[in-house]
Amino acid sequence: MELFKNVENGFIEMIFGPRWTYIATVRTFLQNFLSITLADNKWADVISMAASELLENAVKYASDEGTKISVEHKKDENKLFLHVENFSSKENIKILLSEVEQINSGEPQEVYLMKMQEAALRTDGGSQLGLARIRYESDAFIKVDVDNDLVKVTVVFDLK
Amino acid sequence: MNSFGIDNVITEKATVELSDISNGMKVTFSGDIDVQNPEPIFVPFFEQIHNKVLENNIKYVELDFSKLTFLNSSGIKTLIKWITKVTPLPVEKKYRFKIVANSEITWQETSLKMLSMLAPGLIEIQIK
Repeated sequence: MELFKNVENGFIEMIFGPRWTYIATVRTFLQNFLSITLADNKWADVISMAASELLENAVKYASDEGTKISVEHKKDENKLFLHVENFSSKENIKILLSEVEQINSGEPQEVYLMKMQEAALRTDGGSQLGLARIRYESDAFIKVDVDNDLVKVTVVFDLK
Repeated sequence: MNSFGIDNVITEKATVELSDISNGMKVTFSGDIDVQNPEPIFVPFFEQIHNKVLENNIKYVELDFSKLTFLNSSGIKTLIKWITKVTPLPVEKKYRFKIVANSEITWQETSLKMLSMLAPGLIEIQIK
């Protein structure tokens, strides 16, 4: 086991099975922890909301055990990186990549409004609002990395 | 109990209560709405209210979120479904919403403001 002496950049990592019941626990923990670490309740609220939305997607679309969430605060850049990793099917990965491309392509408020109008017509259980909501509420950048069936969604919050 | 005779929604983590007010009806949300699929719980409840509001020619519904600490995007979708039932109605059937939000809860200011953009002129926002 290694204990780092350099704690310049804060880091949290949690790994658990894709279970809905963990989401609220992780959200509450992050909100409490970040409100102390960042000394900013608004960012703590926004980041914990984003974590909750990403974890909901991870649980809904997981194809296998294992969900990892990590939060990295780079103090020198004043940026916070939120990563959520899980395994998913090729079909769901394709949908996710297309969603992220669409969400990053437009002005956050316009894209969110368009997704809300689409959600009104959806008859399945999903809303497809989570990523657009994150981008609108935080102006964060969202990216996706894929390695076979492993998907890593990263949200970069500019805390300046 | 409200005059519509509609039962309140009480889940493990959230309560949604319907009550009568002098100028219409009030729906008060409290707790966390973060279930995986809130549609079977909330859509029928909101539909009952919508139908009774139309039947009784009520013109004002207040949605008080000030005690709601979390609302996931699937929960937002159930509200969108309600609001977008009102927008296509003829003028004489339409009713107005007032959304009451809590400035201490960050997502409320941003997410709830967006709901008003779905139905311009029909939704007033009060942030307290």
